[in-house]
Parts: sequence; structure tokens; C-alpha cells
Amino acid sequence: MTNRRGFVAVELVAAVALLLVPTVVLVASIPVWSERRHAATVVARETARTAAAGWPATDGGAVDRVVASVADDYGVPEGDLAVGVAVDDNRGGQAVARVTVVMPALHLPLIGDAGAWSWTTTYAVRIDDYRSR
Amino acid sequence: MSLQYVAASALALVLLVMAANLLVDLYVRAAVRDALDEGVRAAVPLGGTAADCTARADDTIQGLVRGDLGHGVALRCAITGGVVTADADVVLPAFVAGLPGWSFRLRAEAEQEGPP
Repeated sequence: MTNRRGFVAVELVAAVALLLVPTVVLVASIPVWSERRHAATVVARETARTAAAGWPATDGGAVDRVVASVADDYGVPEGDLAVGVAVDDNRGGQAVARVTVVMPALHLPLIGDAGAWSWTTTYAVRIDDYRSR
Repeated sequence: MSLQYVAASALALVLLVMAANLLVDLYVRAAVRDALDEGVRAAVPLGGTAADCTARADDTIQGLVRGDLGHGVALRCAITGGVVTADADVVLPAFVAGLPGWSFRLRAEAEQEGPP
């Protein structure tokens, strides 16, 4: 009969390495994608709203504050967000925010991120037809 | 079947439960974020109140998280200086006895609409 001493230990290590760890990494990574996607959507919505509310002013300070605020709320580093806002000069036009967020390909708890891809969203707010300047 | 095999199987199951715990906790965190976002959006229109925010956030969280997990979520809203803020203090229990729960605070905010 084969000597089975140590068999379970090897099996457990293999199971942890090949099954549990990949599962935990996926479990930890997929919600981060969802959260960052949500964060980008909120950043786009709030920056477009802020730009439309401030029309016709073109000062980007208010938009920058909104980006910083939402990024802080969601725990997303500002450097992982690229935000562009285009505002029409005329009433009836649109304030369009375009946000690209960096998605970590793999999120390793207590270790860090590995690899990355990006996701982009846009949000548009109409400038009221009878808006006063 | 040896004692060693039983112990290893039990340990593997505990690890599996911990992974499930992590998954559930992350789901609750995402649900609370959604609830806070819904809450502030409810109070953003001109005339919106903190009560509107709280009611919407409560409705949302009750639709997404029930039972003991939902009881660990405390939501509150405020409107200060034209900014609607919603905060949540969340305490999530650990599935494995003896391990500490996970507590954290989340916030959402948005500028309230003013008169044109």
C-alpha cells in the first residue's frame, strides 16, 4: 500500500492555491469594477450638473471641487479619473461630461492592484432654453 | 478517513465561508452606496428636504438588504450650504464566530438645485 503520510497537506495547499485564492481574488476584484463604474457615473452626472448650473461661467473650479468630492466619497484616487467637460455657449445646448476611470484588472486585498483597464462614460445636461445669463 | 482529512476539510469550509462573507459584505457596501446616491438625488431638486433624502435612502436599502445585515445600516441626511449629504454607518457581522465584524462609513453628496 502506498504511504499516504502528508497527502492531505499537499491536497489542501493545492486546493487553496488553485481554487480558493483565485476565487478570493475574483470576489475582491469584480465589486471594485462595479464601484468604480458607479463612481464614474456619479462624477459624470455631478460635473455635468455643476457645469450647467454655472453656465455661462466657464470657471472650472466648481467642477474640480465636485470631482474631488465624489472621488473622495468613493475612495477613488483622483489620478484614476480623467474628466472632460464641454459646455455649449447657447441656451438649449448641452453640458456634457466625459469621465474615464482606471479599473484595476486584479484587486489583491492587503497587497495592491495588478494590471488595469479603463472605462468611459458620458452624461449630458440640457441648458434651459430660457435660462438667464 | 483520518483526523487530518477531517481537520483539513473543516478548515477549507471555514475559508469558503469567509470568502462568502466577503462577497456578501461587498454586496451590502454597494447597496448602501446606491441607497445614499438615491437619497441625495431625491433631495437635489429645488425644495427637496433632508426628509426626502432619508425616506428614499431607507426605501432603497430596505429593498436591497434585509434581515440582520440591514439592521446594521444607519442612514442620515442633511442639507447644509446648498449641498445635500447622506451618510451611512454600517456594521456587518462576521459569519464565522470569533472573527470581528466589518464597520465602515460611506457618504454621498450633491449640490442642490437653486432658483434659475
